[in-house]
Amino acid sequence: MASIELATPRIVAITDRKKLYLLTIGRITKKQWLHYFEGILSTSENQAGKRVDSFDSSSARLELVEQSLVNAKGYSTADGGEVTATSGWQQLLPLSHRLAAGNVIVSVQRAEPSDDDPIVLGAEAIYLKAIWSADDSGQMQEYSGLCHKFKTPNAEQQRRYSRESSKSRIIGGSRKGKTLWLGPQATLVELYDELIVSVDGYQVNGATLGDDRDRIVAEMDTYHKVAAADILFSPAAANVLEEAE
Amino acid sequence: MIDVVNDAEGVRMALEEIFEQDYVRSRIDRESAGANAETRERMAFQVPPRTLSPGYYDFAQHLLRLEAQQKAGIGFSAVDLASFEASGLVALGRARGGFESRHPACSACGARQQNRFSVKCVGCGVEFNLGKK
Repeated sequence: MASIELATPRIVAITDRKKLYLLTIGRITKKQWLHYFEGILSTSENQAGKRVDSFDSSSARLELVEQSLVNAKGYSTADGGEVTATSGWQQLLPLSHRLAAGNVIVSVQRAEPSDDDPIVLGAEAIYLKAIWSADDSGQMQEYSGLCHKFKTPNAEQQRRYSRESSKSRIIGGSRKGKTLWLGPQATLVELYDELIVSVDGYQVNGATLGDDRDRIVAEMDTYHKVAAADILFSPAAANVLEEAE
Repeated sequence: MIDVVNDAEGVRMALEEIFEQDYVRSRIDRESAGANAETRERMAFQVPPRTLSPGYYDFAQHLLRLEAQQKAGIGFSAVDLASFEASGLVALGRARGGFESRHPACSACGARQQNRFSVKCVGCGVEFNLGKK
């Protein structure tokens, strides 16, 4: 099974008007990811007695992409020089390309387990699938079977998650105002580091992370930590049979 | 901008609305047993709407979870509790007190009454002596 290489920069391949463009994104640090999460605008409000939620991460994602771009290939410049030699080249790339790169770096989803084994009590396995980097032929590859095995959270850890996910501020009055959710991502990162036991599908400089807890904590991509820990603390869907007419 | 966790009065109001909604829902469940879907849907309009911004209700739910853990005997020290959670639990106590005062329990069966002036229990039908000598 192919593994995600966490240490090397990621290449995002975009085909536009029959030409291939390659954007290189440097390793995104925990600090950069936490700044991105702070920039997400997740709000809720009452409209005619009903709760209406809205979510916008595009501005924060664009900022993150522009901060972490280290190279771009396939583009030309007015003076025929290197793209990266132009001041502020990151902002000069087509918006659609920067948005596409933003979509790739947050392309992490819950996946079905890659084995048929029953759940082991006291341990929880979360499976993810993600798009990470283009291969040598310029094709973006989806990695499935990314597995994060955790200890079962204790009551105190669940309480911390509940506390952080219920924090919010109101813009406007308490009745008509919009709730701005502060988000539990920073706490999810802490909880991930406390609970992780082992991972499958990730490597650093060719060496798998496996069950080396210290290396997982130090090397794992923060967005993958948040995605896995979020699933760990979310309720699973119950198997409900709809009432027959 | 209002920091929800520090707005104890707003949190108390949200908790009271949650209690009232739950009370009306359970009354509808009881009264609509055997009713068709259309009647049940019509009765659902009796549930009072939420009037505050959604953030208040989520923090209120967090406080209800904390209280449930305390009642279940899951001990946690005051150090584990943030100061806003301690204030929130006090607001929860006040909200519950207000609700219980508006809907006193029947001394015979424990069912909560529609109001303080009910003459007959909605649960077991026992008649109340409303201060008559």
